[in-house]
Amino acid sequence: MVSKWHLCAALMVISVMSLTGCMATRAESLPYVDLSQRQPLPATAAAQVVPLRVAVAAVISPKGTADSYQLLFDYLSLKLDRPVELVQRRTYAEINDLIERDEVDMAFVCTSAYVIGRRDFDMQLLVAPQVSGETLYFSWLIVPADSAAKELADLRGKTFAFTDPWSTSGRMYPTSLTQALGETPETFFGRTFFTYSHDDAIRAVANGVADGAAVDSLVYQFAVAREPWLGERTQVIRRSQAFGMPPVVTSPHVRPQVRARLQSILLAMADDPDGREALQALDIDRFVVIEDVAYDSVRDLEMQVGTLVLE
Amino acid sequence: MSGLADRMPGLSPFARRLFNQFWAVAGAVRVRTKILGVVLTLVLILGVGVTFQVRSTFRTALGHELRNRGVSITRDVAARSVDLILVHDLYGVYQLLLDTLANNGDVRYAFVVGPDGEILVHTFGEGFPAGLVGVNTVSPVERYHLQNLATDEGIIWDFAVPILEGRAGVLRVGLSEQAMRTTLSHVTRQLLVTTIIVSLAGVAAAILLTWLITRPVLDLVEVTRTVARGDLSHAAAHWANDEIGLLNDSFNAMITDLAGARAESEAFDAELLRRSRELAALYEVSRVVSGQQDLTDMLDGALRCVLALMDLEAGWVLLLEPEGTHARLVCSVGIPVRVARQEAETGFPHCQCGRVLEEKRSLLITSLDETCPVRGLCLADERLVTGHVAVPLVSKSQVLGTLNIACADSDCVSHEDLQLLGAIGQQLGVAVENTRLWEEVRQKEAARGQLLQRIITAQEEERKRIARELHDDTSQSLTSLMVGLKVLEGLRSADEARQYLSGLRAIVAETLEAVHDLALELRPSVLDDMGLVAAVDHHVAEYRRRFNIGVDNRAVGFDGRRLPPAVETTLYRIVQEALTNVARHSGASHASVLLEWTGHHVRAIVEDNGSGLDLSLARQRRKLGLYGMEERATLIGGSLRIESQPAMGTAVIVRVPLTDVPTPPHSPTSTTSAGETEASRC
Repeated sequence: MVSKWHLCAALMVISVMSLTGCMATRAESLPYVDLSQRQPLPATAAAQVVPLRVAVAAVISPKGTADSYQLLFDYLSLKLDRPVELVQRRTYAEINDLIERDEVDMAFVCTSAYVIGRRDFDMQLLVAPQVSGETLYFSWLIVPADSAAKELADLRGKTFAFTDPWSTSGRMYPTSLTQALGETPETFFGRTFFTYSHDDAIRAVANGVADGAAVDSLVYQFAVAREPWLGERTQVIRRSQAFGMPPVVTSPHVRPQVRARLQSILLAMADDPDGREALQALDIDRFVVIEDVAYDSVRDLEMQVGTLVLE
Repeated sequence: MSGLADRMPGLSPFARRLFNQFWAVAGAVRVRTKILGVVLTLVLILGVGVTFQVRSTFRTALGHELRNRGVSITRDVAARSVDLILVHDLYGVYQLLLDTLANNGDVRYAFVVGPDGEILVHTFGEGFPAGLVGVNTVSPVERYHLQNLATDEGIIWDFAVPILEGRAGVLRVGLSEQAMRTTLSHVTRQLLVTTIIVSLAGVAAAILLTWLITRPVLDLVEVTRTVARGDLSHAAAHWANDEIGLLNDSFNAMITDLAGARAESEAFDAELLRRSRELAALYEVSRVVSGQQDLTDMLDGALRCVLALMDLEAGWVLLLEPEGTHARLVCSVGIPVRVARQEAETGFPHCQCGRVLEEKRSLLITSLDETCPVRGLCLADERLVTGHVAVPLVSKSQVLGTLNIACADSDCVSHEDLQLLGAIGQQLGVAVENTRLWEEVRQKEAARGQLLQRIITAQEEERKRIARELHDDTSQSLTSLMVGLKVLEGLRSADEARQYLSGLRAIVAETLEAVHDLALELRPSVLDDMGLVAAVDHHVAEYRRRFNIGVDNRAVGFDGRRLPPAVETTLYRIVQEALTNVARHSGASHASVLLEWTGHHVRAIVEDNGSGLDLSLARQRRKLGLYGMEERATLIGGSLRIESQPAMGTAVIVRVPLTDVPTPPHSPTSTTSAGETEASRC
């Protein structure tokens, strides 16, 4: 009788030990980290080789930008024999700040950002992309494919998506249109919001989040070519006057040699197979030298809509 | 002691020894403990097994779930942080990581390692755990990489996911196992609690089961013990229609059979005992009876013996008179002789016990008539007689008397006792008969002795008479003749001689007649020469002449045939004796003799019109030659009967059966002597 109870007790002990023990044995072979032992993060070591810092304004989404510009950056890095670092910021204004503070060497900026940067801190015009043999682009007013709106006036009280506060095509032009109707965007539209990139604005209209938007014609064409469904679900109801192509600029603090070197590399890209491949990724024919006068139409528009957009 | 395993073939010695050791422990405990042990062991094995299995399965499932969640969270955060990182919105990334921690309880930490290896954002706050960055790496083409870490906070599942193929860095998220382990512990605890509850339920069920099984068995054991003690009145209760129920039924059937067998045995024993008692009683009665030759003493002894056997105190014995209707008291015990005699004289013919004469079996009379003398008699123990047992004394289907036992209550004797008394009655009947026969033999023997004496005496007297006759008559005549011859010798003349001779011749003639008479008296030659009828005729004629009594003599059915000489002599002597008795004692003036031959019988009847006689007295006194006549008849296979009443005459009737005798011719003629008339009873 006693031995039977002993047997039962032993069985229970063994089973409980086996249940708990299988958990304990696992930890022995694992790397050990004491989470309570903290130490300050090491200061970022100064890079041995100073990279070329290139900012890209958020014409398209940051991920799209990173993807599209990767070949170009690789090419530049190869030609310059130094790393090229992509710097993105949410707004045009932030990019301009970086350029002004010499935190980036080169930047792909929007026309209005250039106009403002040129005026504010002597932003240097380097080259401009030529697309389809032109260095011009337009602002296209788009609405959903099934929308009945034929004019901006039809969008009264609707939701309208702006791209960037500083965007010529995405904000200045539609604002000028509302002004032409004797209104302001705030009074004319029911609601407005910023997408901070043109492709997101197209997507907002295509998905019905916005009833309308004004976008860069080149970005629209580029996006529709990449994603045809965007074209199927949107329609262009108005086209603006031509604006100068968004330029590639340098900081005023960039040394002239570097600037010249960069310009020569960019201008010669179309003649280099690797360069062409990088240009094709961006849907660009080539980089060309452009004059400041090409942006006067933008300056005119800016004059027209006033400085409210730059606040 | 050979173990259970020794009866199992194919076991290795070690297994056999192991099993025997196990069975030495398990086999020694009670069934209740065995069942309890088996149930507990099974429940524990099942419970622990299920717990282990469920815990293992649950752990695997939770591990999968944790891994999927970790991958999902990390990849989601990585995707959402791409733009933020690209636009250098590190605070946005930080907020994203904090939100992730806030929304996922088991996410212990998250941080982003930049493409250059520096930590862009982390959720540890002040400082960063040493060595954490390098323990998990992921290549740009991998979806994720999981590395389990042992930390001071337990096991951490560290997920690494490249952001934008690594170009924007690597996101690391650490998920603690704690929640999973808590869940596992909770589940395990629940299962163990369930196991314990089920074990308790199992114990309860085992106790119930044990009770259900052992209760009937113990019941059966108790009944077995009861049966072993000899008490067959208990039966095992039928608990259920299962195997134990069947066992109970079989056992009960066995008890019933046993009880039946015992009842039979007891009945047999009782029968044996009864028979033995009967035999003992019969033996005792037989012993008492055999020790006595006197009828009264014998019956008295038998009555006392029966009373002692029956444990009763009063009784009496009656014997029926020869006519069969009246009884006389032979003996009595425990009741006054006067009352017993009164019962014999008045009670018996009227009492219900008279039925024994017809039924010839023992009767218990429980309702006595008011006139019954023994009714209400007070016995020695001061109880009153309310009835009595009447036992017939039977011999050769004839009731000779009754043995009676007084009863104070209606169940003083049982049915078996009545039967026993019946047997005793038969024994006593035979004994009474024997005693009577013995008495008769004794009387006959005495009579035979007297007869012999008389024969001898008669012979001597006959010799004296013959001698006297010879001396007085014949001798005198011969003397006279001798004297006459001597005288004749002296005579000289022929005339004288001639005259004298004529005188002598007369003497000779007289002498010759006397001798002839003498010879005839001794045995008539006519019986030999002419037969019974002629001899009787001759004797009757002589009888008439001598005694001057008128005698009718008649013979029927003889027709000249002769009977065997012995029968003729016997009948002749009986007739002669009877007639002599008539002449000597009856004073009769007339007698008749009838001889009748009918078929295979011959009968002789001698009647007279005399004074008659008291037969018993005559027998007792051995008078009249009656016994001699009976003896003579008996010697030739016949019988003699005497019918007589005082002043009514006497008839002696002899009847002799005949064998090997020619049947008489058809024409029955009778020869009668002159002057004979039909015999008629007086």
